[in-house]
Parts: sequence; structure tokens; C-alpha cells
Amino acid sequence: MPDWAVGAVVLVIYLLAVLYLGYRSFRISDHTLADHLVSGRGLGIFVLTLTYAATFHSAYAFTGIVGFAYTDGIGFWVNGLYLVPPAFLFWQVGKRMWVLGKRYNFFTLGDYMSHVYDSRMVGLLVALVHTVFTVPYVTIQLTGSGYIFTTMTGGRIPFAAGAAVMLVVMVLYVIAGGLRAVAWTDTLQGVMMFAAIFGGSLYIVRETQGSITAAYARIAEQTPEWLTLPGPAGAITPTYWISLWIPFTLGLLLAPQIVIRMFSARSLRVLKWASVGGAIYLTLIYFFTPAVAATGRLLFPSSDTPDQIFIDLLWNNLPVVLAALALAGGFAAAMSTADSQIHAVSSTLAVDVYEKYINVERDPVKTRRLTHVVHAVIGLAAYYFAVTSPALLITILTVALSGVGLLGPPVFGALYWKRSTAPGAITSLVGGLAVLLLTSFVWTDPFGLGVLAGMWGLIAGTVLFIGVSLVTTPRSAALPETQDWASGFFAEATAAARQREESVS
Amino acid sequence: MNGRRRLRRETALVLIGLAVPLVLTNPPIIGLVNSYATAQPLTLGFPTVWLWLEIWYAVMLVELVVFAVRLPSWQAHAIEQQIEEAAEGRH
Repeated sequence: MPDWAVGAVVLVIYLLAVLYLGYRSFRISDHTLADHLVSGRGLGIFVLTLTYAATFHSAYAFTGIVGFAYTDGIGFWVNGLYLVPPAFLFWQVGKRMWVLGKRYNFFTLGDYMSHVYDSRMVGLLVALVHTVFTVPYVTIQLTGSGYIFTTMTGGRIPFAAGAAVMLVVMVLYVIAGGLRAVAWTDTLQGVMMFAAIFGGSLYIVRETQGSITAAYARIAEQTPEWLTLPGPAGAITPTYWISLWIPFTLGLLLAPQIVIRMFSARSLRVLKWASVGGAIYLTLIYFFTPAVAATGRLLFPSSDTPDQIFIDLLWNNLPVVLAALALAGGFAAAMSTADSQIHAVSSTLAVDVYEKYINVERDPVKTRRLTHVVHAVIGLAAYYFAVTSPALLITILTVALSGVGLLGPPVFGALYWKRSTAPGAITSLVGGLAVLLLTSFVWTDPFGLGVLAGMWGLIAGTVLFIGVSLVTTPRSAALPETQDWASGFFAEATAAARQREESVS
Repeated sequence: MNGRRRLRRETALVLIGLAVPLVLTNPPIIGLVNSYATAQPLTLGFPTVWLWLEIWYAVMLVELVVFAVRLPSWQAHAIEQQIEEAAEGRH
């Protein structure tokens, strides 16, 4: 059987598998709004771990990270700093979100923020940030999977058709099964991604270089600057290092698809172990990535498309069935993030905009129906952008992750600081965004410090949040009430756990 | 020791525990490691900078597991029933 036929068969089997999971989740759903948005707050450890990890990683896991390492050398592993801390924060922040979500029936971050700040404007701004900065990422996943489709079928299925197939399958199971369908498919996709990246990297390096250490020894000889900072392109400076991972940590933690998972755990114990499991998964998966990037550099020292090197290496070096499965893993990586993003943004628009301003009686049946429509609309919009690639899309993507990171100050203020105010939150978001855009496109690299725009926006947002909160009067009773209730709950839980421990010993 | 004091103490422990690896994997410490790596780019056959980072990321992971197993403040599931009652009171 020719290689392209093997690739096509594997893709079809994979797509049928995810559609089946979507159908099964539809069958067991109670078709309520809570079930669609947060899987009835009933996800278990294994599923939550993998849906968290798979959602966290996108097509970037197959393309961007190897391209980053290829171009900039070993300093790419600054990435590790926004893999473990967000997982820790997924527990630390998530446990408060979880208990408050159960107590007050929150579904989204905007829902929580508008309640605690007693301000619909705060909730609307959160929804706007989430929507504007997340939809372009869905587009990128469609673009990545379109390329994988084309590679696996030997060019017989063009990019646009491949992206369309992914879109249709995804929208179908998201509409059918909501977060449960997304989480179940993410579980399958998480396993595939891990096998493809971890196993595929090891196989490629051993096949082409003999061993991991041989690859490193050769790159040390050929391009020694690849093994140190600032790297061959001179990009990974100390200020770049710090100003990359801090805004990205916040941006990844507070992305709508991650926050909605904080509300969806079956219990705090599930949330805790999913955080730990997610951190282990996200760190381990890239263990051989520097070696495969070094291999790419050795075999293709002048590549113009470093982001595609890993996919090409997989397809050209693994036995055809394994290569097809590995690339299906790449397809899964893109899909596992895109489906979560479509679901989360739709939920945000439904709960934070539709229910607050249109369906004010909060009829859950109407809201659920609207989310179905919005799933399709967002998917179509992302597909349109994928095939037309407007310049605006690239512009938004440049600032997207850092843009979401601007939510950090008002969210942490809402969780931990009683002096937080709605004017402080609003000013922080608007002002932080203005500085982010200014330092991204107009006054790039202010003062020549090499600090990235995301960090400037975050600094500005933090200063504005604290400053404006201190000079305005807190008016929301809900903010101190939720903080006191959550703190009291965890203090009591700590005392109870300690008592139990002492009675056992 | 009451629950709130213990919670504050454990939170401080967690933050310090994670702060140490974060300090060691950021400038200026990573710069010092890089200076050593310029002369010795490989250690035990692996990139020196990568090895240093990987060790401290592993330390953070081990800390997370230990905290999850041992810290009373991370065993909050013991009184989750209260949340169910509070949620029912909402309806």
C-alpha cells in the first residue's frame, strides 16, 4: 500500500474514533447547561489530567517548539518555566475557583469576575480578551492540521480541505457532547501526542544520529553556540528570558479553556492530582525535543521552514505506519486545543455576554442552544481566517498569549486582595492592553532593554490595578465575602486534615 | 496551631519551595551556568544548560508530589461535603 494511502487510512480511523467518543458523550449527557459547559463538574483524575495537558499544548508541540529550538538553540528550554508553574497555579488558583464555582454556580472566568467585582463591565472585558485573543489560535491549529493532512496524503488532500475536515469533525462532537466530548477526545489525543513526540523524537534521533549523546556531540562540534545562550540567533538574552515566561505563564493559566477546567473537576482531590499529573506530563513530553531539534539542525542546517522540520523528520524516518500514527498525533495536538478553545470561547460568550445582556432571565435551555450555534460560528470564522490569512490575524497572534496574561492582576486581586476594585480591574485591563499594543507595534523595545512587550503590558497593568484600586472605594460586598468564605473553608479543611493525621499517628 | 495559621505557614513553605528552583533557573544564576557551559557545553553527554534546567524542573515536580501527599492544606477534599451543602442552600 502506498504511503499516502496508509496516511489516509490512519487519519480516517482517528477521525472516526473521535466522532465515536463524541457520540458516546452525547448519549450519556443529561443535556443540561452545566453538563455542556463543565461536564456537570464531574471529570475524574485521568481525564482531567490529559484534557488539561492536551489542551495546554497545541500544534506548537509539533511545530513551533522544535522550530524555536532549531533557530535559537538550547535556550528554548525557557519553555519549561511556563510548563511547571502554570500546573502548580492550576491547583493553587484552581482550588479557589473550584470551591467558589460550586458554591456560586460559576461556569467561566468572566462569570466569577463580574460577580466578585459587582461589575458587568469587568465580566464583559474578560469575555472580550478571551474571545479576541483565543479565536486566532483556533485558526493556527486549523492551519497546522491542514499541513499535516497534506503531508500524510502526499498532497492529494489540499490544505483547505484538510482544515475543513478537521473543523467539521470538531464542531460536530463539541456540539454533541460539550466539555465531556472535548475531554474524552483530549484523553485519546493526549496519549497520541505523548507517544508521537516522546517516542517519535527518540526514534528519529537514534535512527539518524545513533544516539542522543551522539547528536549532542555532533552539534557541539558543528554549531557550539547552539548549546549556550543567547543562541545562534542571539535572541535569548536575560531580559528576553524573564519577560517571556512570566506573561506566558499567566496567559496559559488564565486562558478560557484552562479556567473552565478548574470548574469541571469532580472533586478537589481530582483537581490536585490532575495538576501534578499535568506538570509531569508537560515536562516529560519534551525530554528528547532538544535532541531532535539538534538533529534537524545537523541534517538541514539552512532550513527556511524550521517549524515543519519535526513533521518532515517523522514522515521521512519512521516506518510508514508509525509515521502515520505519529503525524496523527500531531493532528490530535492541534485538535485537542482547538476543540477546547471553541468550546471555552462559546461558553464565555454565552454566559458572560448573552446571559448578562440578552437572556437576562438566564434560561439555561436558551443558553445551551446558543452555545451550539456559537460553536459553529467560531469554527467557521477560524476556518475563514485560516484560508485567507489576513495580516490582522498575524498581528493579533503576536500579542495573544500576553494579552490573556493581562488578566493576571485583576484575577489575583479578586482571589486574594480585599482592596481590589472594579475601576482598578477595568483600568488595569484597558491600560495594560494599550501598553502591550504600543510596545508591540509602535515603540518596540523601549529604552533598549530587550524586555518583551508582554512584560511591559503586565507591568503597566499591575501598576494601574494597584494604584487605581487604592484611590477608589471598594463597593462590592461579594469580593471580601468570597475571599473570606474560601479562606475559611481551606483553613477549616487544613485543621481537619491535620487532626485526622494526628489521630492516625 | 489553628487552621488559618497552619494554612499560612504551609503556603509560605510551598512558595519558598518553588521559589528556590525558580531563582536558580533564571538570570543571573542561569547566566553563571551559561558561562560555565561556554567552556563545558556538554556534561555527561547532555547540554549543560539543559541539564541544569531539567534538574531543577524535576525538583519542582518532586516538590509538587510531596506537597500533594503530605501537606494538610492540600487535603481539602476532607470537608467537601460543606460545599455541597452550601451549594444546595443556594437553590
